Amino acid sequence: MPLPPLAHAGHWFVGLIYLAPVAILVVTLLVIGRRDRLAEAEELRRTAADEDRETAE
Amino acid sequence: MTRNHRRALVALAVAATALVAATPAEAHGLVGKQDLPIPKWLFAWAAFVVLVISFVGLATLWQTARFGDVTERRRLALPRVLDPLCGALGVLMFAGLVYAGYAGTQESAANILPTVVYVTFWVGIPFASLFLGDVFRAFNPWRAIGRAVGTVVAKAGGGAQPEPLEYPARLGRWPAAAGILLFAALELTYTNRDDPSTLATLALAYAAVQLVGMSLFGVRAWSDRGDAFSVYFGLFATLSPLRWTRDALHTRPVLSGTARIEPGAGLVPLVCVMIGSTSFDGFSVSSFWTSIAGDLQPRVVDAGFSIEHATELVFAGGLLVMIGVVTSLYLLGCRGMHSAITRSSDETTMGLARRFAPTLVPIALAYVVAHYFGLLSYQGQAMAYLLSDPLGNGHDYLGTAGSTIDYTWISATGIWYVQVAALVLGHAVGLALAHDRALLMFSSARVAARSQYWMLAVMVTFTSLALWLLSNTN
Repeated sequence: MPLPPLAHAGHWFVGLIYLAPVAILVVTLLVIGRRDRLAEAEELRRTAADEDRETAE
Repeated sequence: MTRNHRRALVALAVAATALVAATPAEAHGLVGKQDLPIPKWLFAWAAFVVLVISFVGLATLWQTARFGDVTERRRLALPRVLDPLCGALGVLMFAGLVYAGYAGTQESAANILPTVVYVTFWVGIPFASLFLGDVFRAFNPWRAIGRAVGTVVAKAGGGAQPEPLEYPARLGRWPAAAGILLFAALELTYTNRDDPSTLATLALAYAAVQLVGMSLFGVRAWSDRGDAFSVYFGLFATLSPLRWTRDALHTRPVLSGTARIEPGAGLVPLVCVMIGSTSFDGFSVSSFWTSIAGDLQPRVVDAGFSIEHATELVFAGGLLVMIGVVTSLYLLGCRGMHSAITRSSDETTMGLARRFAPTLVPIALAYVVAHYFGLLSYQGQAMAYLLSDPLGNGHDYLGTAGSTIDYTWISATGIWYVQVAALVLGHAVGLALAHDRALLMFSSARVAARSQYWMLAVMVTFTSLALWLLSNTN
């Protein structure tokens, strides 16, 4: 792949700006996904703990 | 980090690199013809905001599926003779164009065939299909010949026709995907693509393949699945509120036709080829691609190919890479969707990709409008003088042979606004269709909305890609 000419660095930067909305959205979705997974894991842990408590009683 | 996460990150990195690395150095090109009040990249951001707002609006206001069970209304009875009449007209036009290709001047700009193939047919019919429904089906010359032959055979056999083979479900729309890929390769990579006699020969070869397909599997089965152009234009026609049958004109709720596309085998590759080939058409005229091709071509020549064939190979490679990027982005979105609904549904990533593939049809049309609206606006006017002198040998049948192309009727700025509007609208419609399909598939509106997070990412990515491509080609 040819190297971009340094004289056009400004245009490369402008090109990156088109990608920024995608990057923002993807990062947001990854954060949401991680938060959802943690919440689900916590819910599962609580359910298991409740069941253990009921079994012990 | 799990294997799936690693795969997703690698695919994301490939897609992101393709978007970023492809930024052209357009410092000396004819950029900035438009008189825009804001920088072009701000349009991409505005489109992003519009899509996010549309997504939120759909999630909160569109709580039940609307396209699951829709009814069509019969609006107009049509005479039975209309269908064969249109078919006969299609055959006549096809024969006339092939004749022009062989008998007319071989100067591509003066012969009617190249302009009809690349402007009227390839670009004009998708526009017509959106507003008028499946017009190509009525005038499809191969279908008309197949039906006529079927009728003659039936009469000769005393009303009994030999049963065609059952169309294999696994074949699906794969022949159509292959056909559109080959046409895109012809248009975007073949050096003699404008040569009238070559186009005429290829048109006859395509017709022969269609007739063989129809004779094997039946006219209807082959036209609906295998005939590349019939399938291609037919997909766009599903966006129209009009549906034509042999004896009536029906109306249906807008978008309901697209929602009812059967997501069988081959649909995903077909829509990815549709979007990818249009994207490469835009990318191939950017200075960045020119520099890549200029770097690769000598290496291919060194491998023993002629300059002409080396150019064709490099462009064919670029076309395939672009289709691969589009396919990767879509599958990545479906993988994200799968991870979001894995507790609520047994659907696999590929299953989701197939089920949601119809939602890419409006995006494919948006790409066509965005990339070719300028071509149709200007080069479409050439039909006025080409119809009057189709062979380019000096005739003036209609008295319009002296007409010229008016480049002032719409400005470059006007074209840019049409392009941006088409892209935003097309992707918003894609989101709405995907949301409705999710409501039909998943147990609750909440799960449906959650499943669509990643489809939103796909839509925003495709919008940004298209606007970036356009910003470098205008």
